[in-house]
Order: sequence, then C-alpha cells, then structure tokens
Amino acid sequence: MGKGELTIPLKRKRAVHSRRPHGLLFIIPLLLLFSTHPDAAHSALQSKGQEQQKRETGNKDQIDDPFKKGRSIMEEVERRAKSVSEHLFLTMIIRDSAGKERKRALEVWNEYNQDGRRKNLMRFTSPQMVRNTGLLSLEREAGEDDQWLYLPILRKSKRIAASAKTNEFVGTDFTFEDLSAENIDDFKYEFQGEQETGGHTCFVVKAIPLESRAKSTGYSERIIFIRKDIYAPVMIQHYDWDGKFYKKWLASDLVHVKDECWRANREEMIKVIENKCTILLIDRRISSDTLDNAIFTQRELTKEY
Amino acid sequence: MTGKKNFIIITIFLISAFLLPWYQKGVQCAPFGTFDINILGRGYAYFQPAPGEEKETLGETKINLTYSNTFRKGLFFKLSSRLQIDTDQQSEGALDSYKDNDRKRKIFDVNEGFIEHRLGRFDYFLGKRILSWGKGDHFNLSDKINPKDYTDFLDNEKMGILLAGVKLYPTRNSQLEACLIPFFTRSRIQFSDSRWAPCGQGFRIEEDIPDDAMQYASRYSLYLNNLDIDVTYMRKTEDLATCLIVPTPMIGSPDLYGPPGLVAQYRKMNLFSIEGATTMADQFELHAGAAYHDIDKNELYGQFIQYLLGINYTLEEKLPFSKSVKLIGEYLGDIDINKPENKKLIVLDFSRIFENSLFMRITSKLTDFSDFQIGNLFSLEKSFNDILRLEYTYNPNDKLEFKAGLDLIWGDDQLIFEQFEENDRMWISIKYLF
Repeated sequence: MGKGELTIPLKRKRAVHSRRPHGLLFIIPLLLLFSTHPDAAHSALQSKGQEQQKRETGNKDQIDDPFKKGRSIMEEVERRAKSVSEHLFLTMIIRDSAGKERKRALEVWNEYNQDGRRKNLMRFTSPQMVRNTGLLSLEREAGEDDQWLYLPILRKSKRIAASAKTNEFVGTDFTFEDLSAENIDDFKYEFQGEQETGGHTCFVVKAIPLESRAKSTGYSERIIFIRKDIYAPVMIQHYDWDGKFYKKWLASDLVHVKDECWRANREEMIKVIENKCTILLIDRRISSDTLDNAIFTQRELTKEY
Repeated sequence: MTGKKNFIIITIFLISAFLLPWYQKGVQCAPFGTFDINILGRGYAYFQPAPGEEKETLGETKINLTYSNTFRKGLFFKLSSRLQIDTDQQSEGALDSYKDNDRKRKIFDVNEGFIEHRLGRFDYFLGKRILSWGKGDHFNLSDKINPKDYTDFLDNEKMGILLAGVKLYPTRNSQLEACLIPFFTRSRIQFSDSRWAPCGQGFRIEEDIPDDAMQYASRYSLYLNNLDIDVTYMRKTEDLATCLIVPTPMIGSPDLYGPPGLVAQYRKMNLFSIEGATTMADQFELHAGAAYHDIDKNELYGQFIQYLLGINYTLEEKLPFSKSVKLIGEYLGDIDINKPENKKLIVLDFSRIFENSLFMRITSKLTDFSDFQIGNLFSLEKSFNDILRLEYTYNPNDKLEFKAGLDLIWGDDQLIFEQFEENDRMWISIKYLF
C-alpha cells in the first residue's frame, strides 16, 4: 500500500449478482476531475460556501442507514461534478509492468445536460498510430449510453455495445465503462465510514451494481473515497468478479474550478495485480457553463485533424 | 498528353488548396499542419510458383506520406500519397491521374488530396477522396463509391476518386450527404501477367464502359436512441466488371468462330439501400440492411437485392491464452428479383462473387502488445470455397508494428476462388511510423 492509501479491512465477498458486474466511476471525466489543493480547498470552503457545506455535511452525518447515507453522498458528488462543462487537453502516459512508457495526447469535451445526462467526446491527437481515434458517449434517459467509436483506418464511426464497454480503451488501463457516465440509479451505495486519506478525511462508500447493471460492468464492487470537505472522489478501488482487488484509481492535484466544483489535474488508473498503470495529466482546462451542442455529434466525432 | 493535363490540374488544385486560407483577410492560419510518414515493408512466400514462371516470392515497400491541416474557419486540407515499389513490377509510372484507370499502380500515387470546408450546418468537400459508407464490417451494401485496388486480391485497398460533395446537418442527430463523381474509375484488376488475374491467362478481354461517366450518391443518416439508420441512393457505374463470354467470328468466314473471348462489362445501375445498427441485451452490436440493385441493361442482368446480417461481440472473460476475444460475423445474401434468361453468358460477375457468403473474424488479444486474428470468408453458394487468413500482430511500441500471416485459399471450378487456389502464401510485414 502506498502513502495515504486505505487500510480499512474491508471484507471481500463474491458479488451476489448472477452475472457480470461493472462499475461506475462516473468518472473519468468526472473523474477527470475534481478537487483541489488542500489548502486552497479549505480557504475556499471557509469563504462563502462554508456554512452551506457544513449544513449539508451535518445532515448527511445524521443519516443512520448506511445505504441512504451512501446514496446521499453520491448524489452530492454528482451534483457538484455536473455543474461545469469542460474542454480538456490531456497527456496520457501508459506504463507497463516493466516501467516502459507510451505517451499519448488527447482532447476531451465533457458536459452535462440540464436533466443531468452526460455527454462526452474524446479524441487522440498523437501519436500517429492512434491519431483521430475518437469516442462519443451520450448518456440516455434509461438504459445504456449510446457510444460510438471512430477509427480513422475504417473512416467511419461504429456503434459499440455495452459488452464492449468493459474492454480497455485503445490500449489504456481505462475501459470504455470507466469513460462512461455513471448513473447512480444503477448502483447501490453503502457508507462504510470515514478514513484519513492523503491528509484528508474521506467518506468511504462501497458501490455495488444492481442486477440490471451487473451484466454490463467489469466490477463486482468499488470502494470510493470522497473528500469530506469538497465532495470530490480521490480514490476508487475496483474489485473484479472474483472479488479480487483489481484496479485503483487515484486523483490528485485538485483544483477549484467553479462554485463547489473541484477537479483533479492528475489521475492514475493502476492495475494492481499486473503492476501497470495509465496516468492522465491535464495540460489545459477550459471550463464553462456550457459547450456548443454541435460538439457532441457524429460530425465532430468523425472530424480528422 | 492527357497525363500531363491531369497533372497540371491536380497541381493547380493542390497549390490553391494550400494558398486559399492565406488569402482570407484577418484569418490566422496554422503555419504547419500534421505530417505523417510511415514505411511498410512486406514479403510474401507462395507455396507454388506464379503461372508461367518460377517465381515464388514477392517483396514490396510502401512509403506513405500524409499532410493535413485545419485552418481557421473550419477549412481542412488533406494530402495522402504513397511511394511504392515491388519485385513483380506491379507499379509503374510516376504521374497520377484523377481517373486512374491504368492496370498498373503508380510508383508515386496520390490517393487523396481534398479540401473540406465547414460552414455552420453545412460542409462541402472537393478533391480526390476516399469515403466509407455502410454499417458492415466486411461486406458493405452501400460502400460502393470508391473503386478498389485488387492488384493483390486479398489486400483490396480503396482508391481515391475525384468527387465533389456536400453534407447538411438538419439536426444534431442526422445528416444528409451527397456527392457527385464526374469520372468513372474502375477497380484495378490485372487481367493478365499476374497470379491474381481472375480469368486465367491468355484470355482476350475487351472492355465495355458506359459513355455516361457521371455518377452521384446520397445518404441520409439518423442517430436515434440505440439505433442508427442509413438510407442511401446512388446512380453508379459498377467499378467491378461482369465478364461475358462472346464468340469471335473469323475474318472472311462469318459462319465460323474462333476461340471465345471475354467482354468485361461495367454496368450502370441504380442502388437503393437501407441499413441499421443497434445494440442488444447490452452484449451485441447488430447491423443489417438490404440493397436493391436495378441494372440498366436488365434484359441481361435484371434486378436483385443483396441483404446483410452482422454481429459484433466481445468476450471479456478471463481466457487461458487471451485477455479478450472479439468476434465479427456477417452473412451476405442475394435474391434475384428478375432473373435474366441469358445469364449463362456471364462467366464472372465480380460484384456478386460473394452472393451467399459468410465472413467471420475472431481477434484474440494475447497481451497488451500483441494479438492473433483468424479471418474466414467462405461461399455457401457452391461447393467448398474458402479464404482463410491467420495473422499475428506485435506492437512493441507506438512506432513499430510487426505482422506475420498465412493465407490459404480453397475453391471449386465454378467460382473465382478456383483461380487463386494456388496462391496460398506466408507473409511478414514491418511498419514504422515516424
């Protein structure tokens, strides 16, 4: 275990669900996101939002049912994450078990509808081998997302099925699922206590896919660590369907983007058993209330540079 | 003379495309675009010598150069060219033409050179370009705009053609695309002096190409919740010929005939297709479609419908030797609506070779850097006809790609496969991307 990581003795059980599971993370994008430097975070909270923050936190603390409390925390995380649209320029570093690295650059556009549904477009800009490969995800009101993959070698976009979402995205340690929006109605969240992580007090919430979601997720459960002061996920532990600790997502270098929204400038997805990882570094971030809707279309997905 | 003229036109066009954005007042242009260079070397070892010679190997080198740039105001330019040489002299000449109907490839080949300009809900594009339509992975009902290069029958790369087109975006989830193709370009097949000649050696072949070269195509695409739909109409000359057997009258003796010859006829037709793609049970991508073909000379060819059923499935279970397995399966069927009486004259209909065929491809991801692929295409129409490709790919990094493969072909004497039955081969390739 590395510095600041969790040591809670969480007992692993095989999931009760009949089929495959899967996880949520809302987040890469979401993930791709949140939080702040501790100091900056605290000072920000101490200003205008502090009272409200305390009130909300207080209310959540008063909930006794661990599932209701877990759900309540996740709703707050989602609310804050969905408040900002972003255009990101990223560097992706894929490090194998021997320490050999491959670097890739990509652009990501991320937005939430007024009804909270997420839209995401990402496209590799280098190196040549993956340039212009893109993924468009549109969260639907019910059921799985609409997802299309554009491969420049085929010169057309292909709709991909949910089963494909458990596949790794273009050789990275992120799966399509990791890059999809997380619908909190697809999971059961159990509050498991508070834990000091990276110098911050974090809520620890276990996410278990519901039966309807189980067949399209690669994870039987995830343990999500959420900073109590800013409601930003900083670590997620993923367990596979054999109940093994499989992957770990870490967020650091958190920055205050807007209002109560925090984002991570560095994310890491570590495959624990294979000792390999993918690191995402935000090189440039353009945040706004909304993005041009024309971005999340086939026209933009199939555009080459 | 025509070649020089074509060269001048293309040169002017390309220079204009470069300069156009610089003349837009107040618009800053990207000083440099993206240059991509890659080198591909391939070596083939055939199990049997080529007809008429002892040669059993083939080596080729291709250097691909691509330049692209997106200027301000949504003006995109792309130029894709290739230098290629091989030990079979399958390439000759250095100047490309927009019709590119030569039997041999060019040593310096410009496969694409076009501009695309985005204006609000409207795009237009002009130049030599490759388009990909249709929902299929291997068989495609409506992907018939570009001809293909069958110099190597199993490679069949698309050839760029000169076209002008527009795209309209009436809503965020729909688009209407139309293009005009002013010149007819046939697919490249070497009818003789090649182990991939489809009609055997020594046939006298004449070509029958329609005088009306103008072709056009349009497509309406709709992206709904969990359903994509394409509706396509095109008026097109088939880029693959139908070969008819014809008697050859002997000079001076109209009642006597010599050995029969072949006429390669390129048919004009209307094509209307509808295709769809969806996902089901969160596990499968399914696509299907049907295309109605109405051939102009219908007393000989009639009308027919091709239909396609396809599936994509990825298995992510932990398998003994694989991280994941991806399966693609497609069936292409064919129904005669109006069967011609004298169809027996047709000895080879390239466009309907696979009229009742199955395609399957299984890709197994062995490690993060390597995969193994089995591709199989077989006809259910006659007896055993099959093309099998085994392929291993290794990418030690983002710049290098090694491949090794084995191609096996079986066929009876009723189909084109029989011609290629002796072309079983092993091959390796190395690609370096700068």
